[in-house]
Parts: sequence; C-alpha cells; structure tokens
Amino acid sequence: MAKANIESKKRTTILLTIFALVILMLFGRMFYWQVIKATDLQKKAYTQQTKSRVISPKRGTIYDRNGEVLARSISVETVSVTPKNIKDKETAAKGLSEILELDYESVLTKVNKNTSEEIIAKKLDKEVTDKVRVWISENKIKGINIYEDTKRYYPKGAFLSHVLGFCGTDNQGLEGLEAKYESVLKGVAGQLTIGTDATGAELPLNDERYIPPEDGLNLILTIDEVIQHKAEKYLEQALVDNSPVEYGTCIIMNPQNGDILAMAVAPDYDPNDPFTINDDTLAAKWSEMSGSERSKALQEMWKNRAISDTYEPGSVFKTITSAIAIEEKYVNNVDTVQFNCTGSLKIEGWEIKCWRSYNPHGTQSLRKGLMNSCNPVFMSVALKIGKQDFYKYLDAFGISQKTGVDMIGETSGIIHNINDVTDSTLATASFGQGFTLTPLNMLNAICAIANDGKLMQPRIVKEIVDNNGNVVQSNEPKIVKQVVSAETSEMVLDMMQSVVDDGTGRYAQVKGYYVAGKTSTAEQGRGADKKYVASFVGVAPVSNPQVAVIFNLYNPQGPQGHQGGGICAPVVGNILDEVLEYLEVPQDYSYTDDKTNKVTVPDVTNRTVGEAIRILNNAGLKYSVDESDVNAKVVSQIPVQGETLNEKSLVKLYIEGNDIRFTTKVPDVKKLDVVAATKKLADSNLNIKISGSGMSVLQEPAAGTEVEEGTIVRVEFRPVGIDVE
Amino acid sequence: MEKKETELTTNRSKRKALDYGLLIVVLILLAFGLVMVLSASAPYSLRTEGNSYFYASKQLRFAILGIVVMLVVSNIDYRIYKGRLADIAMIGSILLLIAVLIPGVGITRNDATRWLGFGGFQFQPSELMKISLIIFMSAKISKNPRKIKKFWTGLVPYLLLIGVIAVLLLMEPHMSATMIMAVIAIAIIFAAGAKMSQLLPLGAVGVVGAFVLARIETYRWKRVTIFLDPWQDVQGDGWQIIQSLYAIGSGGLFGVGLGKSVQKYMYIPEPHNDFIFAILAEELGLAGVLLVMVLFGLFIWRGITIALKAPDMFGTLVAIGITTMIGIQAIFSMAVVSSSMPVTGIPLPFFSYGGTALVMLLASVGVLLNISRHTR
Repeated sequence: MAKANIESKKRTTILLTIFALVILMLFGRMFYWQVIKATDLQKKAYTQQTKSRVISPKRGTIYDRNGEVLARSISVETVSVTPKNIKDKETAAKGLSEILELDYESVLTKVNKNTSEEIIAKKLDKEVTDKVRVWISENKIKGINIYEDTKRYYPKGAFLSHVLGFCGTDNQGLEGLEAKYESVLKGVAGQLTIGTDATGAELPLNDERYIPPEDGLNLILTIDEVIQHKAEKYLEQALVDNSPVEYGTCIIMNPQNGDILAMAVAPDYDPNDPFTINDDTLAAKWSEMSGSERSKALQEMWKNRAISDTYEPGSVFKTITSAIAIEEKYVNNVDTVQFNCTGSLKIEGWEIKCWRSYNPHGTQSLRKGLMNSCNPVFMSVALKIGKQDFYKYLDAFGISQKTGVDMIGETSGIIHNINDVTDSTLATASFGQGFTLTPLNMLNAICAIANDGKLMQPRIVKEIVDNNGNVVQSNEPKIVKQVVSAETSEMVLDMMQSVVDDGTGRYAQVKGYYVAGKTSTAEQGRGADKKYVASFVGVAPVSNPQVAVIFNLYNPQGPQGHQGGGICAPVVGNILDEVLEYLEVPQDYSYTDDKTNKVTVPDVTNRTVGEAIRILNNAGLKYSVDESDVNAKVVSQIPVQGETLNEKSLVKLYIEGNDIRFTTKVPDVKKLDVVAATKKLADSNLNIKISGSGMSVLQEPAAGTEVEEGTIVRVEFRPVGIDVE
Repeated sequence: MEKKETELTTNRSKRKALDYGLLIVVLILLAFGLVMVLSASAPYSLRTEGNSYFYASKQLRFAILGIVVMLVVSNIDYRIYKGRLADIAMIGSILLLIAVLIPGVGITRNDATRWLGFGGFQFQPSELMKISLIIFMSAKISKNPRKIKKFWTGLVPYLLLIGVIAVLLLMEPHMSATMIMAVIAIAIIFAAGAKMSQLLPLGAVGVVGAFVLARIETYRWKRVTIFLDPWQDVQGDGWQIIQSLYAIGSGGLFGVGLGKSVQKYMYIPEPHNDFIFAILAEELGLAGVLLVMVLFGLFIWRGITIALKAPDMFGTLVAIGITTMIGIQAIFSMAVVSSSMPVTGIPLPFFSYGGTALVMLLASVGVLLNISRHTR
C-alpha cells in the first residue's frame, strides 16, 4: 500500500491554496454587495418590500371677502382591495358591486388582478362605506381596505363657477382659481409606508412610517357673495328677457382699489358636476357626440368669458377717447360747440356713418357728442389727437393688454400695430371698433377714470390664510400708473354722468345717486357674420365712485333689440341700486321710494281664518278665501311670507281639508303704464311687482301662463321716447 | 484475508484520538445552520404548514440522526471501503442513477427527476454517487499510483467513468451535481499526481466543450450569463438572483438582526433551501458572512491536513475527495447566491434544509474523522 508521495503532498497544498483564494474572492464579492452597493440595493429592496399609501392633505377653503364659504373639501372614503389576500373572489366582488352599485364583472376583474392594490371606488360617502364595513365584519372578508380621502364641494352649486373653476377626481384644480392657486390650495400629501411580503400582505412586527399631510392654505377673495349673487341674478334674467342671446358677462369692481366684487358669466355650470353640459340641445345629442366634440363643448362651457373672450368695445370706448382729448388739451372746453355731425364722415374714401345717420346730430360739443354717442364727433377728435398720442394713451390705459389679474386664461385682445394705423382705422378706433379687448380690460380702464386717473391692477384674491387664520400672503391693491390727471378723469366722469342724466344712458338712473355711464352697441364681425354686443358701463356714485359695473350681452336678438342703452343700461341701474344700498353708500340726494306703501307679507299659515283676516287687514292687504268658517285652519297662502307687495295687494288663503287651487291665466300687461298694468293684474286676482317707470316693456311670467291666484307678476317699466343708441 | 486481519489489529492498536478541531468546526457549522434554517424557514413554514417550526424541527431531528451516524462512521476503519465495497458502491450508485431515469420510478420536482422514494423517505442517488465516486477513484488510483501518469490506461478510464455519470446526471437534469462530481474527480486526479501536461489540455477541451454547449442555445446562454447582469430580466430569470442581492445588500456590514430578514417573506422562494446564505447575509451582514467563510476555511484546512497526514494514499485521496466535495459545494452555493456564477441550485452544506443530504454529509465527515484517527 503506497503512501502519499512528495508530489501528492505538494499538490494537496496547492489545492488548499486554491480553496483559500476562491473563498477570499467570494468574500470580496460579498464586500462589494454589502458595502459598496449596499445603499443602492437597500433602497431598491425597501421600495419592493413596502407599499406606500398617500395620505391626501385637506385642500384649502375658498372664502368670499366676508368669510362666506365658496369651495371646501369634505371627507369621503376610498375602497380598495389587496387581491392576493382575498380568498373567495366571487363573494367579495359580488358584495362590493352590490353595496357600491358597480358592475360585477369589472369589480371581479380588479379582485382577480395580480397587483398589490386595486382601487374599487373613490369619493364615497361615509354612509356607503359603513355598509361595506358591516358587510366585511359580518362575512369576515379579508383584503378590503377603506381609507379617508377628501372631495371638493361647492356649497352654493352653480355660483361663481367660472371664477372658482373646479377640481378633478384627484382633487387637482382643473379650471379657474382652483387651477391658478393649485400649489397654494393643495397642501402637501402625507405618506403611510407599511412593510409587505412578496404577496402584498402586511408584515408582522414591522414598524410603519407615517408622514402627516400638510393641509392646503385658504383663499380669501375680493368677491362679495351678495354682490356676486345680484350680478348673477340680473345676468340670468337678462338672458331670459333678451332670448335668443348667446351669452352675457357682468363684472363689478371697486375702482378705488381694483377689487373684483363680482364676475358673472351666463350660462353657468355647477362645479360640483362640471362634466355635465349645461346646454339642453347639446345634452340631448351628447351620446352621439365624439370625444373631441364633447371636450370642446365643455371647454366652451368652462370658459371665463369675462377675461378670456375678446370683443370690440364700441361706444363705451368714447370715454377713453374723451380722456385723451382732454388730457392732451385737444379739447379745452367740453361744452364748446365745435363739432358737426352730418350723419357720416368721409375719411380716405370711406364713408363712416354715425349710428343716427338717419337723423344727424348736427352741431355738437364733446359732452353732447358723448351723451348722444355721436360717432363723427369722436372721429374728428381722434384725427386731432393723431395716432402717436392716441396710441401712447392706449398703452397707458393697458388697452388690448392683459390686466395681470391673478386668474387663469386671461387673454389680451388684438389691436393694429401703430405703423399700420391709417386715418380711417384711427377714426373707427375712437368709437371702439377695429380692435378687441376683454370685458375686464375695458372695465379696468374705465375704473382708472373713476379713480382719479390711477390705473389699478385688478385683484380677485385678497389674502392667503392658514387654518389658524394667520395671513400667509396679502395681495395689496397695486397702482399700475397714473394714466391721466385727476382733473381730466373728473371731467370725463362728469360727462358720463350727463350720459345717464340726460343722454343715451338714462335707463341706468338710480334714485338717490348720481350715476356715470356709457352705452355701447358694438358691431362684431362684418358683413353676413355681423353680430352685436350690447354693453353698458356704469359708475356710482359720481362724487366718490365705489362701484363700477360692466354688463355685456352677446348677440342679443330678443324683442327689446340689441342696443346697450336699451337692454343693458336698465339692468346696470338695477344692479347699482341694489349694490349701493347693500354697501350702505350714502345717497347723493335724499330720495325715498315711490308713494305707494310697501307691505311685507306676514305668515298666516296655521292660524284660523279669523285670525288671518285680522292680521292681513292690519297689514293693509286684501285677502281671498273660499271658506266661511272663521275657525278653519289656514294651511297655505299665496304669496308666501316675506314677499314685498304694494298696499292693498291680494293674499289668497287655502284652508285645511279644502285644497282646491284657484288658477288663472296671466294677462298681457305690456305697453301699459303702472296704474293700468296694476289694475289689469288685480282684475285677474294677481299681484304686481314694479320696476322702473314709464311704459311696461317686460313681464314675468309671460302672458298666457297658467298661475295660481295671488301670484306676483314682475313688470318692468321704461321711460318713453329716449334715444338709447 | 489473514494479512488484512493483522493490519486492522495493528492499526487499532495504533489508534489515536480523532481530529477535534474538525469535529468542533463541523458542530459549530451544524448549530449555526440549524439556527439559520429556523429563521429562514419560519414565515414559509407558517404559510405552507401553518406552523413556524415545521422545517426547523424536521431538520433538527435529521441533525441528531446525522451526528449519531457521523460518530458511528468515525469508528469504522476507512480502509474497509477500499476493497470490494468500493466496486459495489459504484455499481450500486450507477444502477440507482439509472433507476431514477426509469419513468414511474424517479420522482420529479420542478421539471427535474432526481429523487427515489420509499414510502415517506426520499433521497437523491447523486448524493450517494458523490461518496461512491470518491471511494471508488481513491481505491483504484491508490492501488497503483504511478498508473495515473499514463494517459490511455491511467486517465482515460476515469474520464469515461465521469462521462457516464455526467450523462446520467444531465438526463435528470442535474447540472450542479455534474459540476461537483467533475470537480471532485479533478481534485483527486490532480492530487494523485496526474501529469499536468495531460491534465491541462484535457481541462482546456472540457472548458471549450462546456462553453460551446452553453452557447449553442440562446435561452441556455441567457440563463448562463444572467448572473453578469440580473437586471436585464427583472421579472424572469433575473428575479431570484435580484431578490438574493436585495437580501445581501440589505444586510450591510452587521445585518438587520437575526430573525429580522424581510426577504424571507416570499421574496426568495424557499428561503431555507439553496438561497439560505442570502438570508444569513441579510440578517447577520458581512460579519456573519465572514464567520461562515472562516468556518468553511477552517473545515477545508482541517480536511487537507488530515489528507496530508493520512497513513496511506487511499486515505489521502478519500480525505481530499470529501473535503473537496463539501468545500466546493459551499463555494458554489455562496457564489450562486452572490451572483458570481451561473444560477443553479446548490445547497449550502450544514445550512440548507434537507434531511437525507445532511445525514450523508455528516456520514462523510465521519469517514474524514476516522482517517484522522490514523494520522501519522
């Protein structure tokens, strides 16, 4: 038996050395992974070994200037599943689809997926998720998660929608201030990280990492909810009264600081449900429309036309032309008769007409020219001014430029380059044709005239505050520049007051206040595409302007025509009347409302007929009841409690057990004076609500409508025989 | 016969104490391995068996049995394997390997037919073959050590034998066992003094052959090379090795703590088997890795020492064979787990779960220990 020889021993030692070297190399390899690549691998491993759930922050609230809530976030819940932890997929899918009213097949698909988590439904009310909770505990189902989330809620529905905008399903702002102030409102998301095994199930004994969310900041707007409401109310009414009409915009500002108090666009939409079209015609064929058609229609609906639609301003712009002429002393005395309207003016071979070419204005002063809205007067003025000075001031007023308001989607309009301006384009520009701007742009320039010549930057967000009420950012009023002198602006305002006192803007008069204003009936497009924008700008009170309103109706084709002085001025008058009263602006002169006493309807329901009769008699109202038993109980009354009526108006009572309603057809009360209209309605057992004075031009409800006796019919009266442009 | 009797008696009289160094290293490795099986298998065990200790307690029972077997074997004179027993073991092992391949007899798991079973007991004949190969080759070579220097009569018969075994194993298929078998055989032939002028060209032919075989099929080449960049196929072939590297990397210098591995939660499939070293690296860090490597280093050092001091060439070759078998399995296993060589399932000796394999392992340590009793 041979023993291991020397060579064998040598080779055995070599073997040992090889082993040692290989192990050393392996150690080097492990060192590489565990020291050099450790951080990288740990990071990747951690990502794989954990699942993170985003904890949504609470989105900031949007308030009006008085703290009224316009948009807020409410708690809702999300239901998700961890598919691998669900044993009986069919039962789970069936239960979830039934409780959440979802399609069974689509839920089943999600439950069967090979992912760590699938969202089943979002934005669920707690009532619904509580049902899920009960069902989970009753059936001992595993793998279903419920967690808190938030949803954007607009408590006032379709209110201020074009300004506020709305949020998408992930609470991200998509339009309006929600989009503009997204970074401020959204807050910072938190995160909950949980360790999981490879199947997505949570690990035992694993520490969770929780990063709390930071709530979003709140916006306080310059908008006044009450004023906004008035603007919307009158705008919607005007759309009805002037139907057919495309749309309307109304902006109300405080000229002294550039605050936007109201900005209304009609038709509006409900930001709680922004993907439902507001147009009946489109809604009817919605299902047949293509995706891009739908999206286009929705974009149109969401568009804030007060800042993104441009139009030719028309005669309202004569105020600006006047200001330039006075400031640069092209007209030294506005009351000197120095112009002559022959119905048109021939410039560069173009016969440019006055709106009243059928009955030329004749000799005119600048003031008269503005009061009559006479085009030849302003063409002559503009030609005097010349394009250099004219454009210098257009630039100073910011015409056809963005105002820089802190809103999304503002456009600038189009204006001729100064080098391309000829006498004829200059002449037409003098009365607001041949260039475009936005309603906000126009109003802001007017505001400069109402603010001693100082152009302000319009603002809509006053402050950004945190949840403890600390002001994080305050947007102070910002003067852009002094455009014209205080004297010039005072003079223009005075001329504008003449427009309302005794010119084309008389329908905008407000009892107790001096109102400055200017009408506009602006042509949009030429030839067959020609449409009109009826517009009125009003400022009040003239002595210390606090409110400036622009009210535009696009392509109105209703029975009242399309003239700004006819259809917009009275509305602005009504708005100013209500807003000045609401703001408690001191009257310029003492005025108490008309002679007939007003009575507020008392509540007589749940009283006996006897008592009701006594109360109504004491209030100065008449009554009508189909019951002789004075002890019978009154269950309803028309009009209801709180309505304001003229003295001796009728209240119709209905008693318990006898609910036969008395109806009547509304008579036609148009083209009557106040007395005749009141009598005609009273003969039909109806009540009247009067606005304005003169001849009735509008009634609501319309003639022939079947209504209950006692119903209030709103009738609008206008002075007769006024040129309204 | 008479002569043999005398020899055995004389040797018993010269019998010395066994190598306690080796014994202690093996017992430490075994205890360490049991702890790791418990830690690595607990979540898997809970999930599949409803009880965290299922695999650990089974492994413990086999470990106790293995120690008993090891002690018994360490008292059996290794020289009795030299004679007919070596032939019987080899023929028996080959027959068992053939039996595995007979449809209906072999047991298939994960597309590989490697097991034979009798009732609840299952084992891999390839495990037995490793020992048989060591004993058979050592016995034949030591009979006439100079013959190994001859090419046709010395080397070629062993090459043919390895070829037959390799074909049988590759039909299962069982790549890792084939590789281990080859390394064992090469180590024995090398230590026995085969001519380098013959070994080196043969080695070159083998390497080129293996390369060509691997390269010939795109999918095979991809599997062979995936370890170079496992991220090229994160969801497929690379998945397992990436999970292993996540575990290793997560361990860092000192580990996440015993029992605190996250990767054992189903990220590494069957974490107590071939990839147990990754879990160890995660829980105990580079420090634990170093300890394991030192322990295997000590084991190899003791094994080689025993080989050098063995009283005869048979003892030397058997000691080298067993040391190589255990050492190379440890190295291959650690290399696979650390993405240092192509991915193939190789259990880490003393650590990976597997009862029969553990008993065989300890039995072969028993042989080694017995050789140590006879050292000069």
